[in-house]
Amino acid sequence: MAEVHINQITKSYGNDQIIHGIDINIQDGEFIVIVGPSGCGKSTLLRMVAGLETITSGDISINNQVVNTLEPKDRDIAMVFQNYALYPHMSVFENMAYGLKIQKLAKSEIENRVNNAAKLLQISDYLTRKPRQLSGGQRQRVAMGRAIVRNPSVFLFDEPLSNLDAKLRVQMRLEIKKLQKRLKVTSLYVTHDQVEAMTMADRLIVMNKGIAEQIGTPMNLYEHPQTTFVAGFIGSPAMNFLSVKTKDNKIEIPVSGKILDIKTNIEQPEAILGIRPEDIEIVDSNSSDLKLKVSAIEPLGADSLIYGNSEGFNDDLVVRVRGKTEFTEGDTFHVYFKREKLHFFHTITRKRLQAVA
Amino acid sequence: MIENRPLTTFFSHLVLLCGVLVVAFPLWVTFVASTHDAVRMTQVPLPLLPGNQFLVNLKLVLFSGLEGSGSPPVGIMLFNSLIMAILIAVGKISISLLSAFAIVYFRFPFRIAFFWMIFVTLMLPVEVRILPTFAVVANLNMLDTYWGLSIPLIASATATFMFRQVFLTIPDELLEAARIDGASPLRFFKDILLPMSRTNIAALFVILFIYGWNQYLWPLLITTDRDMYTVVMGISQMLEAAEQAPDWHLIMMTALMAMLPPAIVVLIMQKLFVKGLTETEK
Ligand SMILES: Nc1ncnc2c1ncn2[C@@H]1O[C@H](COP(=O)(O)OP(=O)(O)O)[C@@H](O)[C@H]1O
Ligand SMILES: [Mg+2]
Repeated sequence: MAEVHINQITKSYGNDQIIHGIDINIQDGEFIVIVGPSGCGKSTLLRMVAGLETITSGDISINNQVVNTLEPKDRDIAMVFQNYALYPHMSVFENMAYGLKIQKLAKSEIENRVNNAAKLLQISDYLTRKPRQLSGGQRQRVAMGRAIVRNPSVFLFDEPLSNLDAKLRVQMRLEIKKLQKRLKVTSLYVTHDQVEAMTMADRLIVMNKGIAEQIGTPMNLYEHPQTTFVAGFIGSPAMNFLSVKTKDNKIEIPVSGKILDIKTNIEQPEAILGIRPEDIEIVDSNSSDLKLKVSAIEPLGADSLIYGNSEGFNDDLVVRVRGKTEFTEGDTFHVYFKREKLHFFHTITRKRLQAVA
Repeated sequence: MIENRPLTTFFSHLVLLCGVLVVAFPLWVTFVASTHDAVRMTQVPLPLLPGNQFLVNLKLVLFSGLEGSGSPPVGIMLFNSLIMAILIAVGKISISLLSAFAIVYFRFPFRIAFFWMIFVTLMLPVEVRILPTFAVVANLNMLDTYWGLSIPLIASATATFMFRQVFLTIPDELLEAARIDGASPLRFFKDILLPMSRTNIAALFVILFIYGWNQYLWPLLITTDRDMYTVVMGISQMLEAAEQAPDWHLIMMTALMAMLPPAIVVLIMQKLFVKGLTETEK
């Protein structure tokens, strides 16, 4: 168990800077999820913590010890890889025991630890099998087991569930989370899947192009995204964005000419309004903010998504309604934006604006 | 492709049968010749059915050798060939494994230069550099030794490239997992790379054993001591050295003996051999 401090870390490959100065302070036992689109540098960051990648500048400390120059094995970490990285010629038992054997632990101790981990992960029946004789989910468990037997201070996960099918993914993410709560080991978990991130994280870090856009609890990020990137990345379907005009402390939606009945102290003449699909209501024309024409309908079972369009829009506006919808393609409908759920962002910096006075 | 047309099946079998006959007939003649005595072998037509002298010929060849041929008993030559072939195969495999390991997993200065130097040796088989190599071996006092027979044939670019290719297919994460597990580079080599290249090593062993076994020019050049002769060069010695008509029955028996060890190696390693050449999944 340990605190992890990542301090102004950067990474360059030659002249390409991949990570641009990231700060994270991780509490003991915390489950931190790093989420971001593919190629944003998540793996690189994690691998620097693991010691598999050199650090260009800044430092990383685990348990108040700077580990920048330590070998991976001396950092007291364990890592789970996306493709599991099990040794194909070794049995499940040997896979889990390999690191302990190198540490020259007593045979009885090794057996003890492996058997306990196997029990915990429900793979005791497969200990003599080779990895290729296991299903994806079972391999994933073995990879977890190999991490657990080391008794590390920090678990590092690099997209461990990406190779599993959807159902197993949901099941394993719950299990990993439970296991982590039980073992209370500080964990850093990388994923590109925002649902995984939201459901697993104590706190999550949204990364974009090598910077940490925002760090916070999942609900905090959902309710108060600090940039349009975070707003668009967290939540599914993504937040809708509209350009709006602001004048005389009022906000106008140019497409419909509607002036929103809220006061604002935004100083710029223009801003980006963000509203989540679930925060839009379908109303009659009296209280309409915007009139839309249905361009597509997606029934999800419990909810339905209505894609609406209007002249002057590039992208469809997505509205989420409970249950079924009576609309069909081509119908027109009126929507109302819940005032307390509006987000405003700067058109250029794309940062959140504290809009409402 | 699965087809079920009787005519096609018939013709493909016919072609295969012809192929087998072409390959098998000389072998059969060799075998038949080794079972007759000297007199029968000088008469025309040559026999096509086995005689009863097999054991007599075998004993003669293995333990006393061919009179007047200047060759030692075939037993000794077989033993020499065996040692040379094994030294070459094991030596080539060891060196190639290590150099492929270095090239794939280490970033050292002039790595690319070394890579190309190894590559260039592809163009320099023993036959091309035979005189300087002979001089070197002679200066090192390795004429008429097993080392002299095998070392110059050991350096091998092909095997290095093959292992490089094998190592490149092994995912990087395996190395990283091993590093986190605390394995040193050599430990990684021994515990993970070696077992994972098992089938490739076996396949290469078969190929290199036969390559070593079939060496002719080099042993001919550096062995002057009868007791260091190898069997492949021994056979031709028998042909040339005999003043009288060649003892075909004994020569054929020797040839038969010379063919056996490679065949045995192939048979034993067959399964691994095929796996090593075709297996892709790691
Ligand atoms: N060894 C490397 N050399 C050069 N560029 C690299 C190397 N490894 C990763 N990158 C680059 O770093 C960026 C981030 O990669 P990565 O951390 O793997 O992204 P993610 O895990 O978020 O998908 C990518 O643009 C990738 O091309
Ligand atoms: Mg990645």
